[in-house]
Amino acid sequence: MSDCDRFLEALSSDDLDAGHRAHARTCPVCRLLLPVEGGETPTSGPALEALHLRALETLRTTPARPWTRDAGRLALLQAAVALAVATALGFSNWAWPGAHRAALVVAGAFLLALVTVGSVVALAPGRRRPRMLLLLAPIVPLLLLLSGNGVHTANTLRSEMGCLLTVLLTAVVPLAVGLALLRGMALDAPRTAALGLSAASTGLFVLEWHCTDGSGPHLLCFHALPWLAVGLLAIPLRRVVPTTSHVP
Amino acid sequence: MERFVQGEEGAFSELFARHAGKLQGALRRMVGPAADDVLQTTFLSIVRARGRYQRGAPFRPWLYAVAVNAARDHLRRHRREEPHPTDALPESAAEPTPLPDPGLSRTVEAALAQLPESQREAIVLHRFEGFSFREIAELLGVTETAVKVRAHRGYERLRVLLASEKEAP
Repeated sequence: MSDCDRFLEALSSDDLDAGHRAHARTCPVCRLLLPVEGGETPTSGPALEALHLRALETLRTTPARPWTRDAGRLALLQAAVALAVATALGFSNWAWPGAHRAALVVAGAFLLALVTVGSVVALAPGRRRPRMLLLLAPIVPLLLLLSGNGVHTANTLRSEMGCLLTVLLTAVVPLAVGLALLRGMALDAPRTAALGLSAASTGLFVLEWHCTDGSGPHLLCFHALPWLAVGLLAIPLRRVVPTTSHVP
Repeated sequence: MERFVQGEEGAFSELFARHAGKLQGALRRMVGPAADDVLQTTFLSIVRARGRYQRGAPFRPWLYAVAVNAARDHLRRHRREEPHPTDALPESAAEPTPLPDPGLSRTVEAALAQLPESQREAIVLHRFEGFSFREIAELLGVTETAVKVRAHRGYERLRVLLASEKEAP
């Protein structure tokens, strides 16, 4: 290993000592890679001054919006959509004689948490929390299967497609509002997917109370799959929406 | 920072005076002549979305995270447009005497412009802005190992580019 290689190794591991620096000072190539001590002197100019004035003007006219306010409103909207659609379609599954009621309550509570707390977590500043929310995604299909009664009752394609459409259509308004809020933060695929899954959970919550088909294939293909599809679809949709602010 | 979040203009002016010039230099290395546009996007972003600032968090890494996001967005939208004007390596001094300001070396900047975006970000933040790899990882939302790998590959490539420049007649 040459001195240049050793210098490069040390540079790439934040481990430069006096020996490495001494080598760099005598090597015409390595000296160009040495970290800049103390940085540059801040500059000024008409462009910076104009930007300063424009930013001050924006500061004057734009009140600070705490992120929790928007997140809270989205959570309330999603909960309202979930409860309203569930009430409109009816609680047939809950009333069905073969229903696993305890499991339905657990799954319903988890989905409602995903609809409300999930949207808040998805919009939280920073990158960690939305990613942690995505780790919960595999639990959802499992929970659907465990709360299902195992009986296949949706015998026609039309009734099966009804479940799929319920998940997709119930997610439209929450997802549109969520995407509008995402415009105000940096493009971040995991965050967008987390918000998409939270929005699509409104439809899952509705079906949990309404759909009497508790067979595994139906739950996976016509409940879980469209839910996952909405989460993934949110990413390309977010990419076409212009960003107004790049904060994480 | 707290005073800026409350909308105090003096506090913002103080932050702007302290960081704008240096950030402009970093952005010039990331996006070339579009640096002023991206700088504007960055500062307007933090003013508009200051409600997303997490109380107690250091300001500088947050500002640079916003700048990197804005730079990426700019590069994504202008991927197919005109090449970076510093793409061609300039004639450089061959004598191994210490540079008066190595950060301003056009040779390094021209070589930097030829690196992939992720490697360039890691090197600009590390070499020119003095962030540690742990801070860069935090700022970019990736692991420290990933940043070190990017930086190592970037420095390796830079060394090859600079060495070939030195050998050129």
